[in-house]
Amino acid sequence: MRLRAGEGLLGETFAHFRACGRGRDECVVFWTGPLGDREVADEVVHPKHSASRSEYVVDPAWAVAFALDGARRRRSVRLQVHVHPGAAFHSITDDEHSIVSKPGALSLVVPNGANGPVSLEGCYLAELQRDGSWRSVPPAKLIELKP
Amino acid sequence: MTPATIEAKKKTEVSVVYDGDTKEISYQPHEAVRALLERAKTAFGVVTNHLLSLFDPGGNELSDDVSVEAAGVAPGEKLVLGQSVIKGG
Repeated sequence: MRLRAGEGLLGETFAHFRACGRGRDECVVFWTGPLGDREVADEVVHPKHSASRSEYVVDPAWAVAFALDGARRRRSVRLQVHVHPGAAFHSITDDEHSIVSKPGALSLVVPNGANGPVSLEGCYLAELQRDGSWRSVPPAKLIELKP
Repeated sequence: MTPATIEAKKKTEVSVVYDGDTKEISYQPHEAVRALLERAKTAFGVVTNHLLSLFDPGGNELSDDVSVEAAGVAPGEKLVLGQSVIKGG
């Protein structure tokens, strides 16, 4: 399955990372889409979270409210995106604490505090497999950005 | 009424929310929250498992080891299936 999203979502994501993470701390957003069309992402949600240079933690009460709102609006998470101050990779913490734990879940990591060009180039994409492991996939293979 | 009939009458349902979807999951009041959690994970096709929990609508995480009844869950109640902590690093 290939995810289709407007280019604006990536720009909005980088803007959140630059403003919130300030090139120093981690930050996270969730791309969401209608429950009935799992190939579309059309909204960026920036959760309430704490962060440091090496970690972000989403506020648990926010997460429950977000889940209930998603059920009410029939919207689900298509892509989890977080930023690293340095290199992009998927850590063990990323593997075990992602917001979605179903096969096909996608998690994108943006390097260098999102201070580079607004692009998928240099980002690290991981896809959750049926056996519970995460597999690295070239971002352009599974994410299609439309003008 | 046989014990089996009594048991069947006690079995009831809650609505569990996960990633935008809602499913009705059956449970028995005396069984552990862990059993309801496992049923919910199976229903939603979750593959990574040991870090997920059930939450009430107020955001309180239900302890896996107490009974569903003792956790304060009532028939027809809405619960959220989610990570105990969503984090990354």
